[in-house]
Amino acid sequence: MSRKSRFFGRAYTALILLFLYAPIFVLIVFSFNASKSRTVWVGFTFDWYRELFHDASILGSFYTTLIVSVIAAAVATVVGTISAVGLHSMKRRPRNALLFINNIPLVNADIITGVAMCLLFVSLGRVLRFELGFGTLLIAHITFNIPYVILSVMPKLRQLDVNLVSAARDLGCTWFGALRRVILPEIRPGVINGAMIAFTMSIDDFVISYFTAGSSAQTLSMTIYSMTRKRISPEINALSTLLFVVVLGLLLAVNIRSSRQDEREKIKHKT
Amino acid sequence: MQNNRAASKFRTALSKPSALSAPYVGWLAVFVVAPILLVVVYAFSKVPSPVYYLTRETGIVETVTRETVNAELQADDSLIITVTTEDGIAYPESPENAISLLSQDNTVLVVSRADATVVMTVRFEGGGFTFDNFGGVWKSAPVFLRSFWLAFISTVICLVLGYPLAYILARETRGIQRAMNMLIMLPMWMNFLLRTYAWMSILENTGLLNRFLSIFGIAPLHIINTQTAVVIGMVYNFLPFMVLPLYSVIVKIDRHVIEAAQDLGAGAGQVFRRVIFPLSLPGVLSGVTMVFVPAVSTFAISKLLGGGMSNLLGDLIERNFRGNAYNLELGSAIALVMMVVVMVFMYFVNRFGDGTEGAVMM
Amino acid sequence: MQNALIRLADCAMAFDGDVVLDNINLEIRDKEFLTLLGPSGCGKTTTLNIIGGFKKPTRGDVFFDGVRINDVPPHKRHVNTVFQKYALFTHLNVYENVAFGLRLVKPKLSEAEIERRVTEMLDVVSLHGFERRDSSSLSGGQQQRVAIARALVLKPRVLLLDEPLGALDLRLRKDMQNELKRIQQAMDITFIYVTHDQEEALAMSDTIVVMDGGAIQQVGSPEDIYNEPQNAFVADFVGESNIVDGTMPQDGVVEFFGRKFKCLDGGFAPNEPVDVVIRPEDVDIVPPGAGVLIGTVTNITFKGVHYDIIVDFHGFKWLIQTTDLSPLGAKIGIKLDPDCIHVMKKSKYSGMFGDYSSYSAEYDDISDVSVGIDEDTDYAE
Repeated sequence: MSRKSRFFGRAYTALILLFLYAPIFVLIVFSFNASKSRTVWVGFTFDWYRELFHDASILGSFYTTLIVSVIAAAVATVVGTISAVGLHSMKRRPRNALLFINNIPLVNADIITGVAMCLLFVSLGRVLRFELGFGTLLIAHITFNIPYVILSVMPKLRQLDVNLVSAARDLGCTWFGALRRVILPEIRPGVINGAMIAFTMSIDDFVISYFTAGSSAQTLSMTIYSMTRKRISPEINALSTLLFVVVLGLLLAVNIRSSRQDEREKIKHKT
Repeated sequence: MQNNRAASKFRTALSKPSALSAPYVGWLAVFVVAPILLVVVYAFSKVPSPVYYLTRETGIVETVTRETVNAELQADDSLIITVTTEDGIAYPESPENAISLLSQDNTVLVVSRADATVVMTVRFEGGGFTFDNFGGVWKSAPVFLRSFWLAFISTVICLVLGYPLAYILARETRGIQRAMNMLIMLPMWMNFLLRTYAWMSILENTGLLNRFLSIFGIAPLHIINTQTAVVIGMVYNFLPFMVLPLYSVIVKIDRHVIEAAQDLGAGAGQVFRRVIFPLSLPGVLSGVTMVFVPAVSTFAISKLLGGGMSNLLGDLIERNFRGNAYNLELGSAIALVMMVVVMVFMYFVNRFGDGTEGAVMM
Repeated sequence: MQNALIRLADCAMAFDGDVVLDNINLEIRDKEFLTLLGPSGCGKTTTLNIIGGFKKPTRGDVFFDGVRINDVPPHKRHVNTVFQKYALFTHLNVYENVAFGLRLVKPKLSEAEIERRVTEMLDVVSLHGFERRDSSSLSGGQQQRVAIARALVLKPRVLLLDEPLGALDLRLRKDMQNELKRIQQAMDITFIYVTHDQEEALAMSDTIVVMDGGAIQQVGSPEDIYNEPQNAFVADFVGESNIVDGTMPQDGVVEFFGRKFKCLDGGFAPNEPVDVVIRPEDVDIVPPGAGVLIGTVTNITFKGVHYDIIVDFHGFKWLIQTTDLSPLGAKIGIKLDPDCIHVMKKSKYSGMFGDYSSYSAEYDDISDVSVGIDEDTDYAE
């Protein structure tokens, strides 16, 4: 590539990054603003961070979000992995039919999934006498998480040698022994990736939670949404800034580790 | 013996690995298929209307029409209800000795007066098949048009902005690719409502952008609460969904294929038009789907940046399900129509790419 | 003659109504190297899976040492398997791959015992010093050896090998053939080997079982199979053959192309129609005047050791292998000794093979395409 086109390429990339990060930059800056204004800079303060740790409603909803995401991701990972193994060993026709249904929550707009589950919970609730709340929120999250886990595990299963299970059984494993000792270790990267995606999707979700949580359970997104009707407290900016820093740190750590692994592999291939 | 055989049959069924997915099949049926079917059922159901039943002490049950019931919300949030029955008697005769009790599920009202008690039951009676809800959908045709139009514009802008970026990235060194991938994904970890909210402070009439422009003496732009602001919000939120699938397809295009095209006499433009773009088509389709679907159904973005001026499909559905226009049947009908239109759209998009559907995820 | 170690009695197998195996009767002796040879889809892998216990025959019985083992699961049989493409556990290193089965033995083996047996086995397959290597970082040949060591470490009485050399290149394949034969003799156990490669089968086996269409076509020593094929399929699949229609007027005389030839076969009804096999290397080329048959050379391919030439006799084309070059279009005569003519009974394969009319140089390559996944390899049962 010529130097000139490379320069234009990088300039363009920088512009897009500016577009992507401008609002985040604004958020972070105004988390230190001494006034509640979101446009006028008054002075520097840590007040919002201090207040954040005393705000029961924000901390409570953050806690709810975290709990829901962790439980939903964990359940989805277990159920999704086991189901993927089952799906993988099915005949093509029923497997494709089930995968099609599995993909519905992924392909559908979030709002459709949300209102559809809302209808289900309201109808069931009338019969079984329960109301929308933490339970329904959790079920909804598990439901939209499982497909991500399955999609992430299936390719790993497809890459497996078709005789792997036979080989393990030949050497003395029962079927479940083969699953535990061979299949699961072999597909582990896919399982971990699926769990990460599921957790991210749960943390990030607003729309589906909004329709399935009712009034008794509030996720962070829902708290923020209810605040937007009036004015968002800079405490939220403070919380987001903290989260941003944590995520940035995690991503950096993961990236540095995997790029080191790459280097090591390169060296290995050379020798 | 019989029992034994059943048990062994059960064990063989368990030993079949495909049985592992049985619980999930049940889960899918209850939590994925049933909800969608419910949407369809609600969309074709009559909106329930209240029917009032009066039960007097004598045990006579009367049905009264809505028109004869008069409920007045008092300043102290209590409800005073008067009912005029067919024989012309009004209960309660004087509001002062009426106790009105609104039960939790809105269905039972107890109206009493000094000498007698009348229990009034309100039942929402609906159900039954109807096409009426779709009449309501037809009334919101302009909202459909606006939603699809804005989603279309946003998708095109995402493609125009995202394709060059993905292309440039795919040609960079591995380290830069890795870093950029991270940088593009990182904002997705911030709450999207917050990021959208931040755009409010940038785009406001007295916002950061206009302050910045005023330094150069440029007149303030009026962006907030317009459709432009909504489109900016959509493009901002969904651009990564366009770039990532595009990038993952373009980066896999074999360099030799491009060299072969050049060798066969194709110029830069022709190489792009005849080789690179067709090869990246699966990524384009995947990106278009991943941007268009959320864009057409968003409701928070338009609320925050559109200021309620540009009412979109998502807002409409939201208001029917959780908002003040509570009407599950109409909401379901709108959701159903939207789902069908989006499905048709995606069918054509994917046919265009011929079987490349779902080529890339994340 | 030793008693049969494994016996298949009337074994049949069907998937969704498709017959994969049809009435297989087979006896396998202890300590022999037996090869199941046939094209893809012939049922050889299914037969192997029935012996290994991965599939149950829909009909018939499997006996091991005289005991019926139809319902014995794979890990309780004294049989281990080397799979197509090895099926190594990529999350484990070489040592752990080999130790995998040992760790499942009950009562538990001591770590010292495991180490002793793994090391011993790695020596047998010449992989000393590879213990800590990642199984995915090995070459094809090395992975092959790990797979063999992993199966042999459990001291099975029978080792099943499913196209084990299919993924290796030609040279490595030849080396591994010798290696496998050596290992079999060193371990002194039975090997049951599945392949579609007739050269491999001829080179390694004590006994060859030729299969097609789910049925056994012939069982015999390599020499038997090559010299005395029982039908046109075997004649064509093992080695090259020219097969022509003929009749047997009497024992020791066969008639084809309107002429009578002396031969060594007999036992047919008078004037019974038969298939006549003539191996390309058995034909002697003589000047046209001295030949019993005269034909025209229509194609010549240089093969290194010899030439493959196609000769047209009255519209029927033969493949002849010769070290003498006859120019294209030349008229040549051939001579056939009685011991070069092999007569077979007519079968359902008659007329399907042994005609080189559409011969091309790529013939060999095309017939080799059948390498690959045999039958239904889904591990679901």
